[in-house]
Order: sequence, then structure tokens, then C-alpha cells
Amino acid sequence: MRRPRRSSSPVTRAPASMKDPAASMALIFDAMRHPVDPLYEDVAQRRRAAAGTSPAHRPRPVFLVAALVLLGLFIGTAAQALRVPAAVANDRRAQLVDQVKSRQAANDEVALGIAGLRTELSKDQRSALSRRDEGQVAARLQQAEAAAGAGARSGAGLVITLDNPSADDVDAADSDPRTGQDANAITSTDLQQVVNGLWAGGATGVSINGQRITSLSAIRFAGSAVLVNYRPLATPYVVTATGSGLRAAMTSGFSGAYLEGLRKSGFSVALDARDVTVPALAGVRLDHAQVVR
Amino acid sequence: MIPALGLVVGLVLGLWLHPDVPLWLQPYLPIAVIAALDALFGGIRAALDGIFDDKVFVVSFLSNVVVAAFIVFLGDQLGVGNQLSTGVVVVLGLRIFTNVASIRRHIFKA
Repeated sequence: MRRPRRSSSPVTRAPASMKDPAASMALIFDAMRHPVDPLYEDVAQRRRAAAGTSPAHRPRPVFLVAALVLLGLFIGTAAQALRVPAAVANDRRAQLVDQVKSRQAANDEVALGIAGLRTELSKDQRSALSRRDEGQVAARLQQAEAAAGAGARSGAGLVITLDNPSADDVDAADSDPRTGQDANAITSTDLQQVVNGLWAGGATGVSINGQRITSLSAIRFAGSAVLVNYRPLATPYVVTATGSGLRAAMTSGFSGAYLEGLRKSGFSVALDARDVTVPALAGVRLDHAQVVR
Repeated sequence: MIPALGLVVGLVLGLWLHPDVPLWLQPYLPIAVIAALDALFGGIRAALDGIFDDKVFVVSFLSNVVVAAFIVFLGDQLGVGNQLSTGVVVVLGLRIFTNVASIRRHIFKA
């Protein structure tokens, strides 16, 4: 009877469970057990074997020194080449900030030009309409412009100024470290509530820090900044609205309670009823046009 | 003593001369430095063990640097440069740590 050939070998006869559980670590253990180049041992052995026959080994430090100079050169070069000095990094950052600022300034300039052209255009529009005695069309145009925020509005109104509490009496524990959101900052929700309250109170035009709020505006949060019309706003937030009786609307009911709540939480809330001007929307798009015959 | 001085001279030269490293060589520089450091600590340990040989040191130094750089180069060509660099750093780092530990044992007997 032929026995299985395998069982004859004592090594392979060991059950699988006897295998070194750390077999996969062999490579790393080998690197740790023999950290010195094996060549050293070989040469030492050869020299020991030849000790009786040949004269003592004379070390030649020339190669050694050359190798070490090379190593130093390596390290020095690597340090120089791969390290970005803080001054350079700061410099680049400043360059980027400069670029952003100059582009923003250019944008503002162009926006100003657009506003000028738009006033000219609407003046021409009006004169053309009056020349042709199209009173009805003119009235509709005015209505549409008011609804779209294309024209500035002035008149009796209300200015609400919201600001974060001063840094002195801020309790840092209120901040949420997970979302990075500061509990001591006016949020987009606060501004939305105020603006909605103003609309409900009969406001005819609303702007925040000069950004006109229209039916297409969004008051959003991006990071820690409030965006209105995709423009980041800085504190204090000045909400300007035209319309009569807004003060009464904002001191009573839900809006009044909301502002009172903000005030109690330490935010500065100021209401000022006076004659105001709400600027026109900076980027009015023309979506519909019709030829007047 | 003289070899240590050589190291310092090389370091000063590298920092002072500011040699321009071509861009294509820059990814291999850190790996080459780690390989060279491995050869250095291996040499120091061999010296403390009494089996140091300058020829072996120079050969292991040069071959370590070249092989390490070549492995990373190959990895870059194959698209696994990062993984291979990690592998090289792990193995060489392990050896450096082990060698430094035994050098410490030799010098401080602790």
C-alpha cells in the first residue's frame, strides 16, 4: 500500500493550525532582525578566515569621508529643495489675496458701468414710451421693474441693524466644534426670518447691506459667511426696507418675538424708522421681452 | 572624527551652495536621503560591532540610494509610486530604528 508521499515530510505533516500565525510579518521581522547590511558580516568572516595569512586590514578613510560628504550634500540639498520657506508661502498667499482684491475691484467697476448704462437705458425707454404715448405700457414696465428690483426705491421705511455680540462677552462653549458654526453669530436663518417678517409687514423693497432682495434672491450660509445674491456679507447686517407701518410689524407678533429673542441672546438689534433708499439689484437679467407695436 | 567632519562639510555645502535640483529628480530626493541614512546607521552599528568595513559601507551607501530611487521611479512609471515609496520608507525606517536602538545599547549600555 502506498502511503501518501506528503506524510513523510515532518514539516508538511504539521496541521495548518500550527503554522506561524505571524507568517505574514516575516518580511518586517527580517528587516528588524538583520538591519545591518549582510555584506559586513561576510567581509568580517572572510577577514577572520584570512587573518593568519594576510597582513592586518588597513582602513582607507578616503572613500568613507567621500561617502559622508555626499550624504551631507544629499541632506542639505533635500532640505533646501523640498522645504517651502514660510516667507515664500506667505508671499504667495499675499499675491493671491491681492489678485482676488484687484479682480473684485475690477468687478465692482464693471458693475458700476452696468448700472450707469441701465439708468441711461431706462431713461431712453421712458422717453420713447412717453413720446409714443404708451402710458399703459409704461405703467406695466414700472410695475415689473419694481417687482424685479430693477430700480431703486426710496421713501418712508425701516432700518434694522443686526450685529454679533462683542467678542468680550462671548462664551466659547456655545460654538459647535463639529459644524464649525458659531452659536454667537447671526445666521442666514435669522436674516431670512427678518426679511420674511418685513415682507409680511408690507415692505415694498428690502435690501441687506446694499444687496436688493428680490423673489430670486437667496440668503444662504457658506462656511461662516452669509451670502446674499451670491455675495458674501460682513457684519453688521443692515436690513433696509421701504414701506409704511413696518416698525409696528417688526415689534409685534412673530417677528417682534424673534427679534426680542435675538436681543435676549446677546445680539445687538436696532430698529430705526426713517426715510430710506433701497438700491436696485445689481444684476438684473432680461428674461422676457416683447415688441410694442 | 574625520568622517563625521565630512558629514558636516557636506551638509554645509548643500545648504550654502544651494544646488539646483532638476524637477524630475525631486521626488526621489527624500527616498534617497532615507536610504543614505539607513546606510549610515548600519555602518555605525557595524563599527560598534567591530565588523565595519569602509568598502562595504561605500558600496551599501551607493547601492541603497540608487535602488531606493529606482524603486520609486519604477513605481511612478507603474502608477504605484506612492505605495512603493511608503514600502521603502517603512522598511528603511524599521532598519534605522533597530540600528539606532542597538547603537544606543552599545554606547549607553542601556
